[in-house]
Amino acid sequence: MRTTPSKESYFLGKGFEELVGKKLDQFHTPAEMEEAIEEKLGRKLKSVSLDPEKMRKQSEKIIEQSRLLLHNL
Amino acid sequence: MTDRENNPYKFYREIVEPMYAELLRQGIKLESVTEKNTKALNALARADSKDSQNAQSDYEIAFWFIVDAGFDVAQKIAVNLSSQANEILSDKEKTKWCARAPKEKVTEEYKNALKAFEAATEKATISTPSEREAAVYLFKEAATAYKVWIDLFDPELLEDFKYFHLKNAVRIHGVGFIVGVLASVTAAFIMM
Repeated sequence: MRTTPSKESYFLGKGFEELVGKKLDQFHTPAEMEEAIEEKLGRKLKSVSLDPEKMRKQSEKIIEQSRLLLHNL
Repeated sequence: MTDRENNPYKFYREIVEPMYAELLRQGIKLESVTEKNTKALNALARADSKDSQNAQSDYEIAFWFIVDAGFDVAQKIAVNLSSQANEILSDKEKTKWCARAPKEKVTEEYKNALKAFEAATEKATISTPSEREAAVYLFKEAATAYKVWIDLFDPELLEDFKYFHLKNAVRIHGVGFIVGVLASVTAAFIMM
């Protein structure tokens, strides 16, 4: 399915490359990227496991809140 | 393998990797990404050991695992950025004083971001693989739109706003207090 072309995302990956001092194409797996950033920061990153149902509810809550905020803007 | 439409390598390099890099920069790693990537790599290894006709289904399996990983990453980034945007917008003073753009532009860009996020969330509720792939692109668009919106604000002012606000409050109340004391002293002096 290629019906939804993505906008150019100018910020994705840039901050990581600056922080780690390496280009993204120098990494082969997500685990290598995690290792590189943890090494740079000198600490372990927060590991998150996603619950699809919680994510869905959170998204719906954000949308609801956004509509209210927009109304009060 | 490079000319196939569902190319797991291409999807990973162009879509998943930059988004996951951003999430890692934000200090978050997702268990599911490493897990799904490992499954994709296993499927690719199986495909490489077969002739091209029989390898097809393993390439497909690998592709959909990468799409799944991309879905998790894109959704998480969009949720994080939309929460960050709402945190700014829920403070009227912050929205007013930290914006570097006219109010109309702030409103317009926020509407764009919200529209993209709504479309992505709606798509995410349908769980066919191709719909999930479409949702990845939509969440990526939503994340970009929120980032565009957040970039309408001065990052240093956003960071320091609570201190600025506190300092201002102390200054206003401090002046009020001094005026009150002076008024009391003057009144006492007049009554003497």
